[in-house]
Amino acid sequence: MPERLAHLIVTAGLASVLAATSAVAQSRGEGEYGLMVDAPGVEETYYGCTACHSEMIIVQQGKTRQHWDDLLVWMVDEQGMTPFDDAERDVILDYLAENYNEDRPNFPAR
Amino acid sequence: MDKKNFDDAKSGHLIEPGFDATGGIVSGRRGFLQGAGLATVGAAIGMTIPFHANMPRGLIPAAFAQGDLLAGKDGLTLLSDRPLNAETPAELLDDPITPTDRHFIRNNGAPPEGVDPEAWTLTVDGFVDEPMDLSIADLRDRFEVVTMALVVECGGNGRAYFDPPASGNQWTVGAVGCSEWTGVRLKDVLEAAGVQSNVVYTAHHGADTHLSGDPDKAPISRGLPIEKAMTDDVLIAFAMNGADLHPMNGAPLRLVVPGWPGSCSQKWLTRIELRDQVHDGEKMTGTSYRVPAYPVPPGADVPEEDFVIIERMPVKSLVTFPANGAESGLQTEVRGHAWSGDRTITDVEVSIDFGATWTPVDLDDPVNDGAWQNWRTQIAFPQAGYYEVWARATDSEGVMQPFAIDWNPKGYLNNTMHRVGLFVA
Repeated sequence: MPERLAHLIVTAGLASVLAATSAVAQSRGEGEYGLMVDAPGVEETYYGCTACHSEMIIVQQGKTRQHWDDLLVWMVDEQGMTPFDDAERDVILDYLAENYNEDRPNFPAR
Repeated sequence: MDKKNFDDAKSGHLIEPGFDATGGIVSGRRGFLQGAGLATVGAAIGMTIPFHANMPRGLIPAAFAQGDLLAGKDGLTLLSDRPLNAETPAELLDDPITPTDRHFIRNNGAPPEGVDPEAWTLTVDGFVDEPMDLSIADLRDRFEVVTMALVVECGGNGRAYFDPPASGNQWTVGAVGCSEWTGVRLKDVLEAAGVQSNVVYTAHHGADTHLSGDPDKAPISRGLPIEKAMTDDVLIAFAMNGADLHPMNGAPLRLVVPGWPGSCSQKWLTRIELRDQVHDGEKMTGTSYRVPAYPVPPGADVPEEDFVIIERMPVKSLVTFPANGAESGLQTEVRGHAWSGDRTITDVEVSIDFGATWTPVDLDDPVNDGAWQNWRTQIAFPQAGYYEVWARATDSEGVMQPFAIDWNPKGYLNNTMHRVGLFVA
């Protein structure tokens, strides 16, 4: 990468550019679980979440496990979601934190 | 980097992370509704499915065929199908007035089904002298009908560039538009109802429904300080670009509050309530459409009580021609729009040398208060090669677009300069 461009990216605070570039390598096709990465916990996460909303809104996000946890709390407390049981909740949080964390390993290429 | 490598990398984006307008994300929604319960599917359709027992698992009802999701829209990038959210690539926002098929969509819940404009009623109540129930015909008959070009921009436009990421739809630059809206002034309707002296805020209610299916929950209900509601350019609109509103843009009736977060412009509008306190409806409270009251470092956890409601949107501009990544000759026109909530734009400048030098452009006045301002200029490149066109606007309060994002936890108000890469040969 030219030095000038690297400098630009840093000064623009656009480090996410790099993550987005690596996302190109990811498959853009859809699998059994829509756009969600097929990894341990995907089935629980997909069916648990898409009862109310599309998985498309999930795969755009990049959050720490704590922030995913906070989001589930908000959905239960304020958005009328039926709570997951504890074991299922852990599986879902592990999946989200592994595949949709702040480093955006699976940010959709679009 | 040469053109080919740039094209290869483009969907990963050295310039605008992660986006191309072709939208591989749009195709084939095999997963759609697969996990939804029968009740959810039925609720989405608006009726029961008598032969549901025969439906193969995962079958998408034909009424939800992908092509219908963005019917009446052209070239929008789908961010989410439920709730439906779609933005417009910058180069498709090139028109001085945004055509209906190029206006972005931001839904919080499920749009109402079976909308009948003839039977639609707007209730005006709360702290008013005369509560009113008005049909759309009543609005047309009783109040002056006006047409204005008005900017509507999502408060989260530009969120995709936040690092660390911020929660919500990852809008790039295209959650904005300036269409011609026809309707009556909110102010005229409120004056007819009689605003009582204790009123401080409006509360807006719409006919869309919560994604959980709970009929007692609103997907969104926001409001305005009464002073803003009583200005001349806030409309209760029933037409867009001379035709009916698009169903996903709020048909048959909506508010249009230019220069404030789009969430103030309630769609499928059924009720305006005047309140003696700041409205506490869905997405008025907590951290929704709010930013910290003070600057914070990227990634900060900010106590909820330190958040304040976003009012006007900040100064911003877009380059709508040429498109990012385009090839260009040694000379080209460059053009776009600029806007600043509740203000006007006094200057737009462009740079082709990464911000080292700036050249003023030819800037139009707004066609009316609340409209964006169109601008254009001719650029001559000194030699072939890769360039970036940057644009920055300055508003009537002397405020200029920044280079870097003023990071906030929910990813609002990104008004950094728009950058367009060009391959000049």
